[in-house]
Amino acid sequence: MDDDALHLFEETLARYNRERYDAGQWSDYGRLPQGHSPERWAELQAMGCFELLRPEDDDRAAPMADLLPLYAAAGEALWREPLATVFAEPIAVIAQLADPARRRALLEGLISGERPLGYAHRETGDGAADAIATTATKSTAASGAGWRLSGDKAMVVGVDVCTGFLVSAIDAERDVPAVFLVDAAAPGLQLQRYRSIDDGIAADLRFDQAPAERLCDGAAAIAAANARGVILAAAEALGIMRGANRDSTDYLRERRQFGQPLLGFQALQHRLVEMLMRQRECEALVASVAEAFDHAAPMLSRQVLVLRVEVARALRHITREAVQLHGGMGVTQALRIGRYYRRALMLDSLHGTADLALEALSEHP
Amino acid sequence: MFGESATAAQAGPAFSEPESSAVQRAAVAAGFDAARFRAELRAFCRQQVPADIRARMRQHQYFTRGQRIRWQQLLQSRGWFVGHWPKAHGGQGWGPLQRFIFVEELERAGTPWLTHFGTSFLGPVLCAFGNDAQRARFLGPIRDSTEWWCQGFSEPGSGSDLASLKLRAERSGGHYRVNGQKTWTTMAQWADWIFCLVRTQAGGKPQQGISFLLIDLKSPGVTVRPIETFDGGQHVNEVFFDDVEVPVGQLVGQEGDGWTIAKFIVGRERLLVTEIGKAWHLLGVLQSIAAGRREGPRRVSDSAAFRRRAAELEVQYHCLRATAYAAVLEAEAGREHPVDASLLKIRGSELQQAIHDAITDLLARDGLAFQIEGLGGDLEGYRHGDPRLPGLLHEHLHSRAASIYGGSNEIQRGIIAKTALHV
Ligand SMILES: Cc1cc2nc3c(=O)[nH]c(=O)nc-3n(C[C@H](O)[C@H](O)[C@H](O)COP(=O)(O)OP(=O)(O)OC[C@H]3O[C@@H](n4cnc5c(N)ncnc54)[C@H](O)[C@@H]3O)c2cc1C
Repeated sequence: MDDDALHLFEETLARYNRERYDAGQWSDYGRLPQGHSPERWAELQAMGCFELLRPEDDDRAAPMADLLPLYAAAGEALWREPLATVFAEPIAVIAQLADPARRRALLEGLISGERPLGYAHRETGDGAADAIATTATKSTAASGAGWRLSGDKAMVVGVDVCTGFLVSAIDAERDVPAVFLVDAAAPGLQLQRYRSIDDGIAADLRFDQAPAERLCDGAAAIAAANARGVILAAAEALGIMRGANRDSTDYLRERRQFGQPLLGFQALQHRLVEMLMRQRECEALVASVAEAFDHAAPMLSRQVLVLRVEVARALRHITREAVQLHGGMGVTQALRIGRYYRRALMLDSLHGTADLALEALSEHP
Repeated sequence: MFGESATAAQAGPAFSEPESSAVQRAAVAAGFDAARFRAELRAFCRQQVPADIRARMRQHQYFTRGQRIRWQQLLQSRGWFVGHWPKAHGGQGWGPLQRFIFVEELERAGTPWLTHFGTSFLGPVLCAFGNDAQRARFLGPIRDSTEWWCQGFSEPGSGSDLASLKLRAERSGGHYRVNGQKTWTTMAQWADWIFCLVRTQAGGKPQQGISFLLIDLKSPGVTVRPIETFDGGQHVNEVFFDDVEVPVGQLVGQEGDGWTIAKFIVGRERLLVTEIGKAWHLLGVLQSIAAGRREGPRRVSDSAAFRRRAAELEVQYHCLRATAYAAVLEAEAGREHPVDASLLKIRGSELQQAIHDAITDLLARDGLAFQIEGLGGDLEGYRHGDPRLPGLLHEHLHSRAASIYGGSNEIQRGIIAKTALHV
């Protein structure tokens, strides 16, 4: 997108948020059985957002930079819709497929909105980053030859729209990680839904000899998927930072104590200034890492870790300060400040805490 | 080593943690043996906590009103719940040191938070400012936990700037007519009575027109409405007063004494809000989570990164505990350092929040489910992750309020600036 188009897109999204996504609507959507609004989800599709994923000619994926405004808008208004199932990890995995026809088919499934995919990689258990205990074996049984998957995956998001799951597992034939596709309705797949800290819905998946399609080798696909997830989460975090900073500034301007607006106290101005500086730094960092990702720059994995450390820290800092600066109001459900705080915890949970990223950065120089 | 589980595994080095000689001397001077008192409290917490309460402690669940009352009554069966009241009023005449040790030990064991409103705030207020009739009417039910009190100070327009409060109380004959609103009232949904700062006089210096009034929450015209908080709990409320009649006999002290009484309460609150025993307990929780979790071939508790973070918290903890005891000894000697009270509030809340951040960062690795149905009892159906997850996340979120309530950390820093910098 050129600058004009980008600007226009941002304005469209801002209007969308004003009309469709105030705090009351947010709560209403949450009470729906899916945990989000199917109407809003369809509307994003109708607005052409999904088309942003269509690659040009021979490219394997469309530029991620074009998605940053979408994710920022989602962050600021706390969208409940399952963006990740279309925009995030699945795109990166599909780009790794060797067979162009299969690649195009899966991508078309995402862009058309007909076949969103869940990303099922995380496992609980021994907890080593990227340790995979789920296994895939090749069955020759008469009842159906092909791959069979067994194992547990934790905290998969967007399960209510997914028609299938991208599951990392050890290919037992070759003893290497690989990514498999399992149909959401597959026999041997059991799904347990629960509320997550951000008041959304997540699920744990159990595979018991579930039939699966082997899509591609794992290591590169998983690394790319995680990187894409981290970068888009950072874009979402920018939206949260923007909203939290704006809300806090507006609140202190309005709120009077001791006969004057609280914004008049210099001690508080400096706190807001620190929050704004961190937002600005993250904006620059997100843009640069997204560009590096689109151009497959060298040292990308380190850049992604740097991004994760800084954005996770800045987001926790800003959301914490926003709660504090709102006083008692900050811990209520009446304002979105408390929701920002909880979504920040969720992003840490989904994409790794700053601690973990810093450790990874320090262990692999 | 911190916390119940950690100490049990380590044959209790923390339990044999030596009492500083300054504390021992001050205790002797006050007429008790600090080490023996601690040992007695620890044995009590180990042996006497009812099974249903202990089950909830383990999972960091919510306690019911009934459970809290039962626990307080159990403590009072030993005379401890109001141990800090003067002997003449049914207490044991404990000074600040004994009271501090008492609270520290209960917190270390992870027992239910003592609702301070009656026992720590109103009780001492009535002893110091009330009249005989008021003491005769109200002290007994506080001691026995048969009447539950809540604190009505804050209003929508008066948080940090408490002196600007507007809840009007107009005298007509033998009554005050009370109109207006309080907010953020902790546990008002369970309370029988509320003590309020009310405005009995407009004009003049705002502090001067404030009085201290006791109001029966069952009075006609009182409405209690819950405020939904982001921690999934239900503990704060709005309280509305619509032409509520309050007998003048329920005014404590004279009209205009409210501000002085409020400052008396705040002064009492400060040492308790350090919650140093709770920090110790939570550090134990952190260790136990790290020890129970693997990271590849090793336990998380063996990773250098985790140990370093835990060590940072340990430094903060010991620093705070030393400062808290220094302040308590000053108070025991009848003095007050100008920085102490506010410092303890600031650092106590900061430490608690930092420990919760560390705990949550560990829990986050398995996915932060928030099944709040599990807060108040057993979770039916599927449970994701550690059984403590809902409770610990609830506590994490609630700890964000620790730097807001009871005078925010910004206000505390302002107080230190005023008293120590003479600005
Ligand atoms: C969980 C919870 C329980 C509570 N329980 C009770 C209770 O039982 N009874 C009761 O009476 N009250 C209770 N409170 C109310 C509590 O005391 C107030 O929330 C607190 O005093 C702050 O007031 P406020 O929320 O109006 O924030 P505000 O006063 O509006 O402050 C907003 C922000 O501005 C900052 N600020 C304000 N003034 C200054 C200044 N001069 N300089 C620098 N910064 C400043 C504050 O620190 C805060 O960060 C409770 C609050 C909470 C959150």
